[in-house]
Amino acid sequence: MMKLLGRLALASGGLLAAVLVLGPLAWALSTSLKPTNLIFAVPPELIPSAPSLDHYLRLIAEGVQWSFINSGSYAVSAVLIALLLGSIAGYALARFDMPAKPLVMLIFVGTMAVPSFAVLLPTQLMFVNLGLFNTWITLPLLYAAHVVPFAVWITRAHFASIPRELEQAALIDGYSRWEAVWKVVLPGAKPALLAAAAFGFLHSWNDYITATTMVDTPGLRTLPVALIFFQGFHGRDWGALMAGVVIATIPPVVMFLLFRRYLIGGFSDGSVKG
Amino acid sequence: MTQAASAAPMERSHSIASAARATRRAGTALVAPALLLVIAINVLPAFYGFYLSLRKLFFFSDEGFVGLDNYTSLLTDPLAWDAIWRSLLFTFGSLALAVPLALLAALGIRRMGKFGSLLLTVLLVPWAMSPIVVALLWKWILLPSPGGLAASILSVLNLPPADFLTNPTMAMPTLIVVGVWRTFAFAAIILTAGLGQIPQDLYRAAAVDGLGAIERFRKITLPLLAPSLLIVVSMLTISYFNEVQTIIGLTGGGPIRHTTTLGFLLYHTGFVELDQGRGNAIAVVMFLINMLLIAGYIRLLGAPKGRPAS
Amino acid sequence: MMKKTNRSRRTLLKLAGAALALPLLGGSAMAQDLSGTVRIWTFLSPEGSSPREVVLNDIIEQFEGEHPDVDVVVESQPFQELETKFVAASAQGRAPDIIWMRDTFLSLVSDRGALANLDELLSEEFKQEAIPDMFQVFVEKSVFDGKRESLPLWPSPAQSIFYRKDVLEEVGLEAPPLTWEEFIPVAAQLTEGDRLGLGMPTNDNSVSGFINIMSGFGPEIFDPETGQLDLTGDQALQAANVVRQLSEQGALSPTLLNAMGDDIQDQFAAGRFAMAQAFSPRFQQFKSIAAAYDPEQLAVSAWPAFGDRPPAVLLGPYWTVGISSKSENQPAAAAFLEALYTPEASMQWAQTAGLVPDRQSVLSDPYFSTPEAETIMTFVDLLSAPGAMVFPQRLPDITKVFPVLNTALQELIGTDEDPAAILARAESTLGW
Repeated sequence: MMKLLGRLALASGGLLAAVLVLGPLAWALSTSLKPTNLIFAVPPELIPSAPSLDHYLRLIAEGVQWSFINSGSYAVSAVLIALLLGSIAGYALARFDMPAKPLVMLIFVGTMAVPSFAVLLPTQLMFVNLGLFNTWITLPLLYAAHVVPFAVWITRAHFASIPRELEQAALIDGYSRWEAVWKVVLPGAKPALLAAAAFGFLHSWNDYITATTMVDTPGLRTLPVALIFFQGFHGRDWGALMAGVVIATIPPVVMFLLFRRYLIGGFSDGSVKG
Repeated sequence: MTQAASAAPMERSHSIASAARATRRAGTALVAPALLLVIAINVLPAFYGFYLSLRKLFFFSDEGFVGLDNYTSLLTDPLAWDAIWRSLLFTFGSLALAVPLALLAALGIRRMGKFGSLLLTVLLVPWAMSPIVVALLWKWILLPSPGGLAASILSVLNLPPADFLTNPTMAMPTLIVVGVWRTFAFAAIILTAGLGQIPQDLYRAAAVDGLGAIERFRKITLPLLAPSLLIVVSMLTISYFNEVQTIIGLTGGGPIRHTTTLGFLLYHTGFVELDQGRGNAIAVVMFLINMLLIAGYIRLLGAPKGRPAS
Repeated sequence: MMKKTNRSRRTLLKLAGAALALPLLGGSAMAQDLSGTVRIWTFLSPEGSSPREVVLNDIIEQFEGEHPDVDVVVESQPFQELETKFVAASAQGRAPDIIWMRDTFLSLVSDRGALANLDELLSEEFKQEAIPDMFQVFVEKSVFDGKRESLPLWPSPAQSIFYRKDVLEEVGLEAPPLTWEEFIPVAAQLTEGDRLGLGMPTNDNSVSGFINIMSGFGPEIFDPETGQLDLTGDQALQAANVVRQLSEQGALSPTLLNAMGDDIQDQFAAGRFAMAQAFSPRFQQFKSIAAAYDPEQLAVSAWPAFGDRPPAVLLGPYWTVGISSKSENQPAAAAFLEALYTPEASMQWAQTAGLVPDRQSVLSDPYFSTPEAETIMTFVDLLSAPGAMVFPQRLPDITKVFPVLNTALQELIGTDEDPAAILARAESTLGW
């Protein structure tokens, strides 16, 4: 009896939590599909009786798709840079002896801990003075730098957990050092690489504050900035804004669902083994 | 390198030394690109910010060295202290809500088996979203006009629309709830993993000893979960202390400064009012508080732990 | 308040006739030499479809038709960030050629040497015909040390009071009373159920309702030396007491804390207010989104004043347009700038977007005697009203004044703290 009650409580708790999480998203989707005159209808329609894609078309008419493409290409290039530099450094830290190793580790872990926002203002002024403000490379560079410490940290741990003997066996088999890394070590670190890639994508795609302060021409703008820009001047067009919320949410959520195993694994392994 | 390697033992020790030197060089070379990028973009600005904080810098025009003026005017301004206090309120208020919720979720998820991992995935969806997008979404939900979702739910209960975001006493709690909505599941992942590390035998033994559920939680779960809890608390503290995007999106620091945290003050002073000298002084103060928090947690946790800045 | 309409309209008509009598030469003398790209930073979007955006696109199309080698590119920016971004871009040598700015930021931008001297760029005929034809109260403000650094666009009374005639009729009035003494009880009377007597944005950093109220004391509120307001003086205290009384009587509500101009606009459409502070050039937009009332009932008024002063009209912040000192295509930029102010362009801004024409001479066009142009003529009256005034050329701490005074406004509405203490804190925050 107690067991049944417990199960019931568990199930209803789980259901409630799911509704609290998914309900707001469903409401955004519903609003984005309603014609403007029904958006403020009382009582509200939860499922639009006459769904329309007008708000999505409006976003396209205003050129929001270009910001979508910008966001995507910034995120992908940041991830590629961060993975390349981060995994090489992670491998070196796991395998090679080098001067001041603890200091190097401290720099990576320290910069991972301090959020980039704390140094955003001097970064802006520095970039203005260096001529790096508002260029096509500005945001990929910044996002890559934000993600590199995490990539180093997580790949180093994985590389270190791959036995050296495996690598040596490959060397004895006549592989070169780089072949050994490519064929033996890298596949072993795949979960770490995917976790870093997914984290890097989420970080870059979801950022607003860096993008809004470091870039200002419309051609370089990211999706969140374009959406906030949408709020002003015309009054608030909630239908279009919610359409924007939906399209801004789909890529990171798909990315998260595809790589959730590695992301969850990355964070929970890190915390358990740490 | 030394060509006069005549004696065999000498040659061997030489080659070991040079091989060691070679790997050190290789290691340095491999780490250098990542390290330089991180130093240039994450470390250097911190020093540059300190330099700028000693100058009168307004609207991109540098009017010269002013010593510690920006700091003294900041630290004698009661509004700045209000902002620090509100940052702490936001940080610890969010922690107080997020950690118990995450713990509850983790305990439930452990018990649900397959459905548990499905639920965890669902709960994590908001964490994958952009904070500013989350703010927009909730601004729409909380809109105090008829037809808004929150207002409609209240009207079913025969209540008038509530000004969640414009009422000075409600704005901060609302902000906390929205922040926790986005982030608590992240804490739940780590706690779920932590729970998985606790040997089940302990519970069986405790059951044999006749300990009740609450006793078991107090005597086994909590102490053994402590390391994971500490990690969760440290990661969330830093993340909440630096939260600014949700505030920009939802309340803009108001009403009547009631949601002006130190992070928002930095944003407002540096990027809106363009008092960039003072803004950098706030950035330095924020940076130092972050370092203090991190150092404190590193002491508590024993070893350096990473934290994704999201 | 409509009494003065006819007189001032007649004067304007005379002026206009005189201006039109001058031969209209058309500005295409140097058309052949111009080429290259002209980049414009404005808050209008080239993809947008609001009236002002339609007109700008038309003007660009026509300009490019006349100057086939010139490519005009509009890069839109959030309107509150135009000046900041322009200064940053200018410091970095990538400024646009043409920039939209608010008059209140002009001195800051000018001090950083970011603006070209228009006297050296504009054609002689434009200087002789167009500039004297504009509203002089705005034109003079753009001249720094004898150098003309921008031109005002869309002369407008900026923040005015929009009201619903149908609601005022309920209390037997045609228009809001124009002294605060009478205004407060009326606003209280108009507050009923969910409807508030007065809507004001309290969290919109581009406007300050508090300064609008203070402007009921006339231009002397700004110190002639420093440009500062005396926030602990008696006039500021009286203005604060107006807000406090409106709030105590329910005409202003704490639900307005955090309201932006856009919120006021949305809620006005939903019938939330009898009267509201609003940005005059948005009059047509307010009408077009009116949902809970008949748009024909929307009307505009000056601000009430204190004592026996004339009704207050604070002319600003308004838009001005300048050319970057770093622009490499200044001749083409100047030619395009002139194109914004042709009599034809002025007619378009008026007819399509409901704006007061920049060139006063076009007011003689029959269009302005039609009922359609009635609102524009009301604005024209406000511009030339005796209580009309502008912000000082140098308003110090411009990036802080509005946010600080808006917080004070919120405190006056949302708390019962002593108004004098609230003002003293605002003054010390500004360091005045």
